[in-house]
Amino acid sequence: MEIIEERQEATHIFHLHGRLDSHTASQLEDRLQGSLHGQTRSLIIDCSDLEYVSSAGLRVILKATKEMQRQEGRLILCAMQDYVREVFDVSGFSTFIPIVPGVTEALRTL
Amino acid sequence: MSQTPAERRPGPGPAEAAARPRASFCLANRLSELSVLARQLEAFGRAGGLSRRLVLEINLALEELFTNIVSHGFTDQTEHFVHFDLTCDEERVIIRVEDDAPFFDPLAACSPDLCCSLEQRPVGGLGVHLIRCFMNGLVYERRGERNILMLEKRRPAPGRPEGARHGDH
Repeated sequence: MEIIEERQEATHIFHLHGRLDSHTASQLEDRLQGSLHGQTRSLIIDCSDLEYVSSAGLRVILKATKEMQRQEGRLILCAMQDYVREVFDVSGFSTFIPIVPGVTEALRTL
Repeated sequence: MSQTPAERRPGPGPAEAAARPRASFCLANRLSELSVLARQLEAFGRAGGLSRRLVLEINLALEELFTNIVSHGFTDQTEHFVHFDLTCDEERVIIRVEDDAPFFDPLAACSPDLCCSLEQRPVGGLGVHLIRCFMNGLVYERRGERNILMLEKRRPAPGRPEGARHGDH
């Protein structure tokens, strides 16, 4: 999996490419942890090039969502492919993590 | 239906069964093997004419299962192998997963409460729930010193939408 980071003031955007599975989830966890302090008020995770996710990926995103709430910040997911969206839906995650069509909408939501 | 010589296989099974796509492989008990699993499933999907979506859903179920076996099934430090065998016809994909761990039913875990609030939600525990969502049939069996899990995934009828929510449960 490839992770590209982008900063816009207090917003941190992560573009995910490839597969977020039990083997690669720790890479994302480390990168998210690195941004969960200091000036970051919002995290946007761009899933447009994310092909695959499993429960290990959900676990990392849930953990980051809880941490952002503790800091009174927000985490927003965007641009999910059908399969990835379905995994979020059947696990109930889309009921408490905002999922929007694209990065532009995510930035507007903040 | 006539067969070319290359399609004939020795053995007692019916001729049409012998021509079905099949994949048989084993993975060592470490998570880095997941990339091998993905490659094997992509090749099987191409051979069987499975949609990309179906291959991803099977990949998800098998990853959750494999991760469970690797993390909780083996109690010693030696290397073990998990065997996978897949076949398919026009209607379904049949998968057999076999390992030599001590008695371990990977389906025995409780399903998580999906309605609780974010604060109460435990981190993790979703793997078995996802396997049940995306597969149509699951049977565990302990045979001798081995754990065997049979999984069935129905293929969508032509023109019907795919996905867990459209499956018959």
